[in-house]
Amino acid sequence: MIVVLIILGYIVIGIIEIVPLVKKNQKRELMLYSILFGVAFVISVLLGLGVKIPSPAKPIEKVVRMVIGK
Amino acid sequence: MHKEVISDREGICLVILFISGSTLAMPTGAAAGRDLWLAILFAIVIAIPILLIYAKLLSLFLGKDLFDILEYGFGKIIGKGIGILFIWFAFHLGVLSIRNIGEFPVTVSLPETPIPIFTLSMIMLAIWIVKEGIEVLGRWANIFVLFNAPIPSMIILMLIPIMDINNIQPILYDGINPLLKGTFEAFAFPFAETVLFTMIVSSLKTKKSSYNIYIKGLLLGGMLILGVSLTEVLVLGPDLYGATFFPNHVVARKVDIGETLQRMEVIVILATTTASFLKMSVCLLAVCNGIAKIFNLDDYRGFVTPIGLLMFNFAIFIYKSINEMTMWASSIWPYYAFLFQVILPIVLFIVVMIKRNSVST
Repeated sequence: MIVVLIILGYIVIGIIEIVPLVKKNQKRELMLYSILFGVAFVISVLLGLGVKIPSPAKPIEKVVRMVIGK
Repeated sequence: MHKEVISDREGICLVILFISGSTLAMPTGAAAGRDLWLAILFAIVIAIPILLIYAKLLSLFLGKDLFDILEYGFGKIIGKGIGILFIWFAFHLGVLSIRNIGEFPVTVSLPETPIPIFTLSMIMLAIWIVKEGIEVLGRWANIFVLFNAPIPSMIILMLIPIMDINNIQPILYDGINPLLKGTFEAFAFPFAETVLFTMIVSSLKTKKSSYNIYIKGLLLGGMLILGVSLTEVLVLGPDLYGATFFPNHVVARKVDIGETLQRMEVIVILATTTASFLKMSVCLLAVCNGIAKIFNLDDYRGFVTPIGLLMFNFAIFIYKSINEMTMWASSIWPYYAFLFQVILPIVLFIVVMIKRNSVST
């Protein structure tokens, strides 16, 4: 159920934001926008489905602990 | 497109609100225990030269931001690489403050509500204000600083009857090491995070503005943090201060004057929410600005929404629980942030100074 809501939400945002970009014909911005938007959409759907996504905090923690030697 | 300019006063308000952002809610420098006030004082003193370096960089390149300066200093490819690292740092800080703003109401007053409800409503507003630009953000800060500076001061005054001076005595009882650790934490957690302002404030009025904004903002914001933290320790004692997730809220609940003036925590929630909102807006603005610079785009407004949504998503899965968040903020964050707050800016500063001198001679 929540996934349907997420998809609906993204469709609404997409219509509001992407259509003006297409009209203005800004290719680079449109590409960047689509990539970021796609990534955000995929993560949202995965979270909505209850998939455990590995957190970026863990590897950073490991690196930091390695550097400070604890 | 007209050039956006913020006045010094707005800049100072931005820095004050940014510094007090998450720190009004979460404890900082808890490692110092009863010497917390000393730790924060030291952290302010240590932060002054670092912030002077940021200010100097900004005033050398008036009208440019950190990403332009990085490209000037390190050349195109390495400059952009370091720029991406800085973008990640701003992104991570934004994620942290969004998570913080979500955990705060859930922990203190609305335990049944899921966190995304709060974070989503805040990120929507943040996307809006970032799309309006830094001028609007500055004017917003100019108004809402009124919620953050005078109101905590009033609460401090109301708490005087239940303060206990024995909570901070004897000074330096546990030796110098906890004090240094607390200083390091307090330095990294609110004060040196102002490195983000080098990424957004490319629109200052004069060459003196950056010094003005940084130093006045640091001193005023630092005084606010110092007063609030000192009150917290005086009222709660060092052990309870370290043990609670949001000591400011706990302290404000204790206000009770003649059984009429009670339940001041609503005011604290207001102050915390506004300041954290500003903090995450600044982070979002920094990320968007950086990405626009890296990809040579004229305007960052086109892709504020997906980045805001990304931040919102990351805030959900980056930490499993509030325990992990506070542990991370106190034991990993200071070392991790040290790279971005101190090492890279100093290296950049040295490189820029050498380059400028060799050009002029």
